[in-house]
Amino acid sequence: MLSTRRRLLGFLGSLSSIRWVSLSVYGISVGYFLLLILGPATLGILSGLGSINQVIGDQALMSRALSAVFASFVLATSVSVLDILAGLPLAWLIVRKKGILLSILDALVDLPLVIPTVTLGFSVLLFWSSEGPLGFLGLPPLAPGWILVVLLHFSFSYPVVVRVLVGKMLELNLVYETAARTLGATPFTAARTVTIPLFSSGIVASFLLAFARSMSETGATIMVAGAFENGPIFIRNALNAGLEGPLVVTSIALTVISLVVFYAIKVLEVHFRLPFRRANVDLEKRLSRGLVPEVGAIAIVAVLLFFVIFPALSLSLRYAPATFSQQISTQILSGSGIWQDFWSGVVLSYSIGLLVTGINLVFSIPMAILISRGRFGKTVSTIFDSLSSVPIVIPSVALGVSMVFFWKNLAIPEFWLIVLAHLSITYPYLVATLVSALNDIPIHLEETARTLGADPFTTFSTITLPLARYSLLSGAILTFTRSVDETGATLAVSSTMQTVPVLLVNWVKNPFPGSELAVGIGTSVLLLTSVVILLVLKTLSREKRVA
Amino acid sequence: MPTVDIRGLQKKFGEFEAVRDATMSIGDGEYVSIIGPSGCGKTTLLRMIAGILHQDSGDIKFDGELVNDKPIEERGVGYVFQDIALFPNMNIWENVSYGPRARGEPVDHIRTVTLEMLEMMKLSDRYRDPPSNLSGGMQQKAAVARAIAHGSKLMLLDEPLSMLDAKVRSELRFELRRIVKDLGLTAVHVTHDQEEAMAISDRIFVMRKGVLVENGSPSDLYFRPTHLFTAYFLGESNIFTGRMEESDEDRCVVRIGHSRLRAVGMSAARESKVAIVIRPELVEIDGSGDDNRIEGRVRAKYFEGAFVRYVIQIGDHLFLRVKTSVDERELGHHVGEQVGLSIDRDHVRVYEFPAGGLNKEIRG
Amino acid sequence: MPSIELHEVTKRFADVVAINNVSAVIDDGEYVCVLGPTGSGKSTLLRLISGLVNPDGGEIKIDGTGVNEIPPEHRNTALMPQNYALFPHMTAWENVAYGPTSRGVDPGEITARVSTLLKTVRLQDWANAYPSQLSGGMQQRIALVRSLASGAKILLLDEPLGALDARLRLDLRRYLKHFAKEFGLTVVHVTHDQSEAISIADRIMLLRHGRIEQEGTPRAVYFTPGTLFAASFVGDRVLMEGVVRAVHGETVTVEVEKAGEIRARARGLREGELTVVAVRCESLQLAHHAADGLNRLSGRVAEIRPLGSYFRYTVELHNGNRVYSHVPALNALGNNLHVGSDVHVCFATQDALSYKYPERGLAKEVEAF
Repeated sequence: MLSTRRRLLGFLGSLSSIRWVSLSVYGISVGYFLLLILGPATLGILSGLGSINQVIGDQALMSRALSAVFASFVLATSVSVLDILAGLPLAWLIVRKKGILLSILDALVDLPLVIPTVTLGFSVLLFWSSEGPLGFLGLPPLAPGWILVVLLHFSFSYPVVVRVLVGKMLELNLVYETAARTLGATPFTAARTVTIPLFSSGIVASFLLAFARSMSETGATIMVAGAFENGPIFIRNALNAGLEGPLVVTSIALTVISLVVFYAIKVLEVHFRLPFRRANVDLEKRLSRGLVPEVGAIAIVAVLLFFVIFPALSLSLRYAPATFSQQISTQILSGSGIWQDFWSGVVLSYSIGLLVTGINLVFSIPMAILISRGRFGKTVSTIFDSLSSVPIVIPSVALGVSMVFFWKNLAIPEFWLIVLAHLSITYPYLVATLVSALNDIPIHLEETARTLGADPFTTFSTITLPLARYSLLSGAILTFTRSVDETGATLAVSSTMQTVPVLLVNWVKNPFPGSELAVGIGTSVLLLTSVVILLVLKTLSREKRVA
Repeated sequence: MPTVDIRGLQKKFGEFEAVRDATMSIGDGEYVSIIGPSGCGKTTLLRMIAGILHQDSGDIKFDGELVNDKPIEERGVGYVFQDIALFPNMNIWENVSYGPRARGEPVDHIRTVTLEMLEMMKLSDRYRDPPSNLSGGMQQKAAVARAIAHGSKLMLLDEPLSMLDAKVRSELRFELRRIVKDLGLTAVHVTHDQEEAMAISDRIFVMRKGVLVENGSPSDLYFRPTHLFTAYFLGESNIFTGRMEESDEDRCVVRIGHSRLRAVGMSAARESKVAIVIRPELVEIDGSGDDNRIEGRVRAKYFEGAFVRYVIQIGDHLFLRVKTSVDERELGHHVGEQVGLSIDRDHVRVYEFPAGGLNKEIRG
Repeated sequence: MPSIELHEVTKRFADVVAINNVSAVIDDGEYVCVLGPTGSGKSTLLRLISGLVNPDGGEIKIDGTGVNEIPPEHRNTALMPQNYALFPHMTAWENVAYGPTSRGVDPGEITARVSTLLKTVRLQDWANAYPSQLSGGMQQRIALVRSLASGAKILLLDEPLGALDARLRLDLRRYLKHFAKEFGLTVVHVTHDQSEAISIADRIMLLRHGRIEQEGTPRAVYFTPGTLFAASFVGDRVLMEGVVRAVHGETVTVEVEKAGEIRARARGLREGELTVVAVRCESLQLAHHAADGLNRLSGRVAEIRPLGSYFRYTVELHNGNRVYSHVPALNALGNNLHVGSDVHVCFATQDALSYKYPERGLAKEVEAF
């Protein structure tokens, strides 16, 4: 006697053995991707081409748009370069050295990753203002402007870069570096001639990730920009002024620049090689041991602390006590006045987050399997792998604009527009996580299961899923967090509804009495939830290492 | 021309003792191998000699000079890895010339030495290829060339052939020895393949559970092993539980089941339990020797290419494995046939019976 | 009825032909070893039979039925990869029960089957252990009974002994054969180790560049290799180049440069042709005086190395070539040959096989590294 559950699973299983059934599952997944994710994100903007004339005629507007785009490009490039220069040594330290101090560092680096960027923006604003250490030391504060923007972008992209570099370094087979050492190379020489070239793909990947994030970031940038205008800021200003032309021009320009940079660097990566004729032994020896690396390590840690960690934490230090005061907490919890907007924003953000995570999970799994297992050949896998990362390349605000144009004629309710935008933006991250998780599961296991009598569905549910469980979960959590955090596209797409980040940005840009306190508390609440999520993630990943 | 002296080397990983009190001396120009089952600590020992791992205690000397505190790059050893480890981001030329380049040698010297090595390994026409274009055997030869080009006189090889096809392995092993001998290098070669060790070594060290059990020339270890484990691990052996009947330093008589056998000398009390080892290929069927003659019945026969293996019953539950050379035309003996066996007394070796029992002693 | 039939099967990957027009028949209960160097297509052959990949041309039949369109889970085959692929997140018991569970077998029946099988391989006390807690040999046994439990009658083994120590490899070789015979399985065992194939196969298929080079019993392949490649790959042989001077039916007279004439077995060679003569190292007898009727080459002993059950004598012939003679330990211990001894290398005509000199050159043909 088989239970209904077993009978259902058995039925699904036998279906999966049929060729056309499995083909259509892949087909639906691909269709979802093309019609709901890629298409609207890239094609929508083209229907707005007509309004370009608005801008082309107007000299002032045109030059303003172009300088905004140029500012975005310069900002993103310089921040990413800084990230790599400072990130490589730190990643090296974390991976190679042992000790309590470094495990603390390792955990610290993760912190800014889970803080919503709006919170980060406000925190950075606070840290470098007269109320922060600068004022404490009697130094002039940093007012909102391009310097603050650079510091902000550095603080949220640096941890990403370090994480990716650490991940790639852990994957490295140390045998090559050891071989170089046995051949007489000093540690420094071995590192620069053998190890670093071997994970150049990691360096490129983290550079591109930092670049993309900087190009996309909107909410926090608005908070700290002052008069500075980069692409996303310009778009927002245009939106507020109701001008369509500048919107379209800037979006297209931003997208084009991003695509060009991405593919140029990928091509360069293959052909670029640092020449190595002879080592300068004395110099490299000195760089390997003794004073130089020790001082360097301290400097790097100092950079991490002062430019990333402390600014990120300053908020909680300032407003945490206030949050817990009797009077304020009753106000917050009762949802009176502005707090009503806040809670409805929270409900909105979280429900969108859950929806987006759920939908994307279901539809991205077949795509991830397609890419990882190469069912339809290597070329097809590579094509879809590249295509699925396109939404990251497109700055989120431009993506949002494109979506609006795409769905304009279908009178889609605002809520679902936001959901669609978030689906687009989070899809690449989820697919990448899933592909990476699947790549870690040796295909032998699945193949053996098949030959033992398990159909594709049974194989997936009994072998693949259990083994990928933790990665799946962390992928889902990251998707959720990314959605809750999303500002750029949401700004472009929403008119009346306010998700939490949008709300907070509006509070900063349109201050009212007590708004500073409100923003501080609001962002603290978000920070709290994020810390909880971070703890859950850490526990999960530790369990994975044990299993 | 380095000599290597190791005294009391110790290494623990947490609670696990990987290497215990290792002491060995290797002479100038010797080709030495360290054999043992997986996990016995031989690779750990090698890595300590290279400086890749640091010993907990003990000394390592090259040519009489203490190298304990010298970092890897200053020890001047050539290391060949099990997984070859040719740098994937460089072609063969760049790989082989890496050592001299990393040490800042003059450009002409780099060129000369690299050309010489490629020539010697017959890889001259592949120098522009990336490692992945070469077959496994050629890759490993390139790795050896790289290790030698760097100029060291001491070669450390960590299971260098285990990733290669059986056929390539059996040919490359003799090549390795030839190169080392032609260049006058000293080599320490770690392997779990005892056939390989026999083929290439001047001397073999047997290692087990972190301890160097015994060492000697291949012949000595094979025909006159001092330890039961060596008798088991090197080649094949029939190992029986028996009793000592007459004990003497020069010659003994032992008893297996109901059969009495003349054996080599060993001191043990009468009727004490002993372990008796007879190598299958040292038993003659229809031989003329007088030392020991036993009757048996052929129970199984297996064709194994260059030789034939028989399983012959010599008593209740007593089976002797015998290996003889094969002849295509002569069909040998048939299953069920009664045969007469002859074993030289020097080939019946006797050991103290291990305290924990045979199985535990051998298989650990 | 034959268990597996391959009719002109071809399989391509991009522009590489992995399996090239292969036809073969494997009978019910046979233990067949597919032998060949890395890259010869052996693993692809297994994957074709198991259904993990489909042929580009030709047909595969299992138990008389064409299976080209049938997915792996519906074929009667179980594949065991080199590292056994035990499911790391399942206990030994769950691993073994996986096959029948997936096939929807009644739970009571599964329990009975699994416990019997575990007892057969003496691992009933390890039922709740995870693969990481088991030794290499134990993992192999679990993997074997897992295949058996699934009800498969055809076992496809991909280098099953490759992951083990040399010592363990020898010990477990016999076990595989014994296991297969006890359960009446048809086995296709892939390996690059010719001594392994020779000692356990009922029949050997020598594979090279996706084609079957030779097929036959171990004795046939060992004593009568059909091609030069087979001669160099199976067993240890000495190869001598020469020119055919005369043909007498099944034998030829070959002149080996500066070393004299020898007689060898041959097929289809003509006078004046370049040839390569292959002789097994153990057929080369060393003697002070040559016996009549045997081929004889003269030289000096250059090196003697004990290799265990035999000694390898390197003899430098007067013409500069080196040959290797494998002398059984008992003989070597008893003879009075030493380095520097003048010696005759003798072998029977029967033991010398002559082949046409390969167009690509000797080194390329025998795939010398």
